[in-house]
Amino acid sequence: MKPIGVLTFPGTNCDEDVFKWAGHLGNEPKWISGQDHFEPKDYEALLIPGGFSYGDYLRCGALAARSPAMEDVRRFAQAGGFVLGICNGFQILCESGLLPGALVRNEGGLFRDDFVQLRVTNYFKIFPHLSDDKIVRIPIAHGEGRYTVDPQELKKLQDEGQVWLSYADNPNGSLGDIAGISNENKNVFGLMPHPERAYQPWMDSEDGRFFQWKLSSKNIV
Amino acid sequence: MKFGVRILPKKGFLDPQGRAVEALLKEQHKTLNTVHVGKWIEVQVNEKDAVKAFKAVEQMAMEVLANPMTESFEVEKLES
Repeated sequence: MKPIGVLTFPGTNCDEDVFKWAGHLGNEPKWISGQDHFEPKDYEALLIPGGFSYGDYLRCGALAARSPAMEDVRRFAQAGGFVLGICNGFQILCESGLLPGALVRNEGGLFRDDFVQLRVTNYFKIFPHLSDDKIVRIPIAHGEGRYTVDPQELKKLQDEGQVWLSYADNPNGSLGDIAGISNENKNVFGLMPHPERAYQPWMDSEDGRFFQWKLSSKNIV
Repeated sequence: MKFGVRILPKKGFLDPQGRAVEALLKEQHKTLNTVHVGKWIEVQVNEKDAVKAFKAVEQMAMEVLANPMTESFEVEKLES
């Protein structure tokens, strides 16, 4: 089995958590430096952890989205590979154009740090433990997590079933209560909440375990 | 050649920074109407042709400096 690549950029700070979480779920994680190129074929899946890549300079995720490794992430995604971006990782995927829309300052301007209830709004075979209408409880921690997209694109996201997670109680003003989306091809996923912060009994929730993916032959790069 | 790039949240787009500053300033300045908070970026390019230099900066603004989905920008020539 090929390893799971975990990307780090200067300022990424959820990398250790994501690495341990991925390992705990039975994967073989391996570090990838966001500042260098890598060979997409060497990896089974790619994870982009949260944090403040490049100090959130310019816009959240803007500089990381244009770094060398992201060119290879793009190649990996275009070949059908599974990419999951969490929090700042989601922002990076939006900034790179691999996911539509943008994540902007929370409504009210506050950084929100709390457990949230998420509704699984669309079932994907790639997440066999996240059935339709399931409610999962995992934490958020972000200042810029308000998802926004133009109205036509929002309708398309909803019609095509690209919205996979919604907030039960919207914490940031996100359009359509959106907490997570996928690309059109359903192999690139982003979410603002942190499954890697809730997978052990002492973490107050173990729902982060439900996010283990199951790849199909289409996802092999 | 030196250029300035002025970036502002798109019109009608939520600008929490602007709203917060506006609310605070209104306490003391009754004439204040609205505030928008954006960015000002100065770039210097090694290009003698003014049109080419302007286009290059415009491209930088469009592709990296601003997010056209949420922000509007204007490029201004500062020095030859």
